[in-house]
Amino acid sequence: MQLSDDVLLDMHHRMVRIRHFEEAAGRLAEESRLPGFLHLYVGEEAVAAGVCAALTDDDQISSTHRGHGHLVAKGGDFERMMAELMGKSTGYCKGKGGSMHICDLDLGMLGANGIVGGGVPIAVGAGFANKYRDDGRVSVVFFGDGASNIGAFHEAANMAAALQLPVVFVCENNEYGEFTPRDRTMAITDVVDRAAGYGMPGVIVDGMDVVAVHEAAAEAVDRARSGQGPSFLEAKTYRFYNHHGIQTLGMKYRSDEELAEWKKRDPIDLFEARLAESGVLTAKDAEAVHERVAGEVEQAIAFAEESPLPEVESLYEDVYSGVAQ
Amino acid sequence: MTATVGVIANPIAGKDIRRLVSFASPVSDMAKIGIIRRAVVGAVEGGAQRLLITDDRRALGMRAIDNLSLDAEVVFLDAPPYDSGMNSQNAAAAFQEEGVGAVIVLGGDGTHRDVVKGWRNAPLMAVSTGTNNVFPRQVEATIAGQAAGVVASREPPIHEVADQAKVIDVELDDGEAEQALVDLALVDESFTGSRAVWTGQRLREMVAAIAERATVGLSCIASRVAPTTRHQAGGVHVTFGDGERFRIPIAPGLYSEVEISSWRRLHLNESVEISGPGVLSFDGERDLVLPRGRSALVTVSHDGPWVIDIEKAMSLECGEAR
Repeated sequence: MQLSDDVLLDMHHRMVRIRHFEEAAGRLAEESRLPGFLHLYVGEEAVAAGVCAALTDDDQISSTHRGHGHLVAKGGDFERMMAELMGKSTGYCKGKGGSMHICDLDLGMLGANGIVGGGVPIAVGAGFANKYRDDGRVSVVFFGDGASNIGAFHEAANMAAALQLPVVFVCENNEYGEFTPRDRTMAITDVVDRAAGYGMPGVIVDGMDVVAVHEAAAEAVDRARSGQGPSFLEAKTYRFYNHHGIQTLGMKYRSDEELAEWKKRDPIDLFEARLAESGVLTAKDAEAVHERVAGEVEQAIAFAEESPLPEVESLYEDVYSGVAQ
Repeated sequence: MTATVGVIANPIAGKDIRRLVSFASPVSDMAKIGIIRRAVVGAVEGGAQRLLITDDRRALGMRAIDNLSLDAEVVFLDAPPYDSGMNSQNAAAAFQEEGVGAVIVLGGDGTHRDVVKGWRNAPLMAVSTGTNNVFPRQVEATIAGQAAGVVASREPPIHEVADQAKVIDVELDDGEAEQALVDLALVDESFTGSRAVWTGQRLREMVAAIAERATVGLSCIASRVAPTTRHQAGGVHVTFGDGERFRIPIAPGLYSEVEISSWRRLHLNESVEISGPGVLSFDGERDLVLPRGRSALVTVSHDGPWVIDIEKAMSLECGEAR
């Protein structure tokens, strides 16, 4: 698959946006300038960027508790995101959702989800609606290796395959479910082995290589859009920060050596090296992208910090939708 | 010397993008564990006293021998925390140092290539578990393992029980050296990406050491103009462009059109220069970017691994036909 320079630069931009937003969010949390939990996506950028670059604006995604990267990759607005993380009224969910419930239906982002595996049936439900309406949309569900042990995943995967729904399952296998290594909770290593059990094709991709992810995602999205049913991608990846992304929180559960090995395959470094080699983006131009994005993040932080908290009177607003009185 | 058999199983063989773009079947971990289990049982039956097994993140080897009562010492080799061809390569190099008498390789063409990069003249029991397999054959692991055990324990002169394979040596202009076992192609791409090659439209040039008609993949292309068996000396050099058109099975269940502008047979040890830009595909996997202005010298030689012939090996165990 020969990708245009525009697509390559777009994927790079998405990855850099995720990295800077997440690094800043982690820093703010450690400085106690940001309330609540957050789970950083740093290290896994190639997955969200490679997949979302294969989607149209109308396509949908559902996400996880580690969901900032997915929303950024789908085009999320830094200011509304940062405000939401800070619980401010200018945030995506008016400050009531926070990190783990951030969403933007206009962008097709159906929501991060604090319940492990919770996003899977949501995307499959969207897939059912899309097929029913015959609107040509595709829904993608991002989930982790741990989520594939949850009952909701199995029911949703079965339904998607049985009804041949236009859904792409993207498993971000980062080897740990929260603090527990994968081999303590699963007798299999490749989550993709489960795809055949439901009757859908599945592939493993290098989750640190955005082009590899994009190639597989583009094929899976094409299959879904052309009525050939769901597909399953398992991206082998790794989170560079601990489960929460806050270094002072939680326990040590991975060796420094293991982390160092994975960091040698930083997806942004690998991609920038290749872009420079192929003449698509020089190191200087890449640096300019980083600087510009870093500035946008700082602007978003200032916007969020200056924004007001929600009024107490709004506590019950937007809790239920369309309930008849 | 302790009769030692090495086992290298590629955990990611049979799981790449060709499950999406073609009708290649998935090969699950459980299938691989079963194959390893049958191979090691066979190896011990054939006389192996010691088994060296590659470990991996999936612990395929450990799970394969779980609950087996093997009358042999079993040693596992460490592996990196992520999937890499270096795993098979390093294991093969370690096997050579350990004086392994036969190496059972479970994988596809790519896995066998990695093994040969680590130990060029390895005595191989090549068992197919990959996708487009030309180098390893479809054989039952039990008897393949037994044949490996026989070779390791009886130590016959290797040429009596094995055929030496050809190797495509690739010498890059920066001094780096690479190898392929079946085919080497220049593909009109900029990235290695998902690695597989599943369209003939982007091929620019290729060299095949094996061009057999009964194969699927790039090797099959060269067989249409210059069939060359694995036992025949030399190879084939093909360039693509305006010319004769063929439809070939480029992946399982997937046909693609190719247009060959020229071809010629290559003598053994004759070199051909291939120039970038493009991506070099080794045995059907995009693996190395060759930028504009860079080139590679490609040579087919006949000094590769020794591929054990099960019939010949088992004749040592069972005696000649009466």
